[in-house]
Amino acid sequence: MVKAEASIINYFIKQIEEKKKQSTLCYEDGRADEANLEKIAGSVLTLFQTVYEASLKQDDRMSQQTFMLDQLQQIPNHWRQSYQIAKQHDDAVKMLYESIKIETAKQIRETFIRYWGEHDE
Amino acid sequence: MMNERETVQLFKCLADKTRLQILRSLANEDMDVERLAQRLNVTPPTISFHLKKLADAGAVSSYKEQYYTFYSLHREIFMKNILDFIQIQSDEADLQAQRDHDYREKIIASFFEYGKLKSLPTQRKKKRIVLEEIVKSFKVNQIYTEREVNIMLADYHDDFCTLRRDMVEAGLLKRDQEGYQRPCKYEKEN
Repeated sequence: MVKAEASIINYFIKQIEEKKKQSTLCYEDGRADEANLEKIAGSVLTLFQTVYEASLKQDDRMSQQTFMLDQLQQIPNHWRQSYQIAKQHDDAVKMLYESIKIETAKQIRETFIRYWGEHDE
Repeated sequence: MMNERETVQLFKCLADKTRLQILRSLANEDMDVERLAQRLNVTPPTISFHLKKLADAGAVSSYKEQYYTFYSLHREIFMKNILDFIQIQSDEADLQAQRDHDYREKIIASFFEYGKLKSLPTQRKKKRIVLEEIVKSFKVNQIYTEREVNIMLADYHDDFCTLRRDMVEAGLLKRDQEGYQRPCKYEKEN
């Protein structure tokens, strides 16, 4: 159980650092908007890192898992709605922002399931 | 000819490597999003994002051909001498008008989303700008019943009663026994 927790926490730390690095590189390369896109992904990772830390306060392993997966479903629902509204209005800028958040959340979910499942007793 | 604000917007838009690469590609031929994405090794949504910014700045335009949307460069803008851009004059009255316009646009962008009001500002000056924007949908000197006013205002915000009351208080809508009217005194479209 402890291994799974450490793996997931390391995943968040590493990914957040990577997004910061990519953002800096894009900015230095004269691609300020793309730097912002990396920052958006980084913010989503930071958000779910906090959610994950909160999930660990649940009573047992099943509750922790349920808490995390529920949040990984519910929080992106708002982004999905915003994406659909942006699509109806042909707002390519907003569509991209929302799709990055949705995609980052999806990657977090897949990673969480993989690590949580791998070290399951 | 572009004004100073449009010039700044264009130059800000050009100060991006990916957008310059897009323009370089379009300088050779018109292209669609997929082709640009493949050529520049960037995802299609990111290309669409940049094209929107370029279109808003007047650098590119789009047209449909069969099932595809193609983008083309506005060559006439890029044929200009940079000296022409930097010599655009602004007198103080123009600058003040421009600042006022920019402030209004900023307020409208903060409080409206896709034509709907996100919330009504509490600050009087900002509220006035928002109400003036909404009143544009009413024809000057046409009489509207309260029901018609409510229906029109409900398109902007669920609390149409507050909106209606505030617009009457601000003098943007006049109310008498016949109904509601937008007086011509506030006919301000820009």
